Amino acid sequence: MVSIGDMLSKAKDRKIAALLACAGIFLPGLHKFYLGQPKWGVIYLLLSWTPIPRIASIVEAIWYLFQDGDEFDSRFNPSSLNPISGQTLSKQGPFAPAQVELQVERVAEALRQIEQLRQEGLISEYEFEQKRRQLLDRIS
Amino acid sequence: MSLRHRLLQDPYYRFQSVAELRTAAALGIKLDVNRACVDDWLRLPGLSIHQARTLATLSQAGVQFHCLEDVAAALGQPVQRLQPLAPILQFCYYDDDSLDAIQPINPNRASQQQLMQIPGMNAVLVQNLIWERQQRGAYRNLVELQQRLQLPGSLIAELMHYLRFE
Repeated sequence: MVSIGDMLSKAKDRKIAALLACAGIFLPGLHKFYLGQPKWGVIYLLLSWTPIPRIASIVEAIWYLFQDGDEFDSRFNPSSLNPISGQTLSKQGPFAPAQVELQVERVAEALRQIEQLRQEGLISEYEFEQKRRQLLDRIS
Repeated sequence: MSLRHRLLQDPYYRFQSVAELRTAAALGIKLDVNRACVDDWLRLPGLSIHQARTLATLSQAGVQFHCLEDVAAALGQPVQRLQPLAPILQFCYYDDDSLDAIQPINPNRASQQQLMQIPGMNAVLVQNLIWERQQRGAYRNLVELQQRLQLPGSLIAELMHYLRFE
């Protein structure tokens, strides 16, 4: 079983968010808690005696589903952005070995690129080391 | 974390503005112009990596900066542009001929005579060093020099004070 804590700390998934937003017809606000916006979640709950949060939930569900995956990530998964290529690094949690491998590969590639920049003198030793640590922290 | 705390705790902190730089200067933080490395120069607002490298390389090559005008000349900029940085810059004089000051030399460019002056060097070692350098190119760092010439650690420990790689 995946605990709620696990679910919240992992990268946010578009489909889960949309599903929770649909569940908003009965209990609005769940998707807001999931996406790390507890204040909005509380507002939705407080307004749940009116139709407003229900309508908003449905609109958001449609919006989550039809928007671009990258757009969703840039809004709700800011830490997964790769600084060099701008691609997302982690979409899944630590349970997908293939994903982790891909992640390591991308980080390794990014590390080689910044090492290249260091050798060319375009970044300083300190900048190189800061970036290297940041990149390594991205490997979950 | 307050600015004051960050200025005092992080020796790499990069000043975001001239106001921050003034605060740092007021706290007694100084940048020793003739000993600053690239990352020290990059702490100053508005200084580019190329300018930082120019200044650090020049002072490694033995250029002494005595005043703000010298730095401006090295960067090819009017003094007025650097004036805001003045509060933090410290111009210390280091005597090249001082007996306790070691002037490191670059083993990739040094002549046989220059290398022979290094304590611990002998004729055979100098010959090997130059031959290896001609055959397989410049040494990138001390570790590479040690490995290529297979020098004992004790000797490297002595030589490293006199060598600088660029």
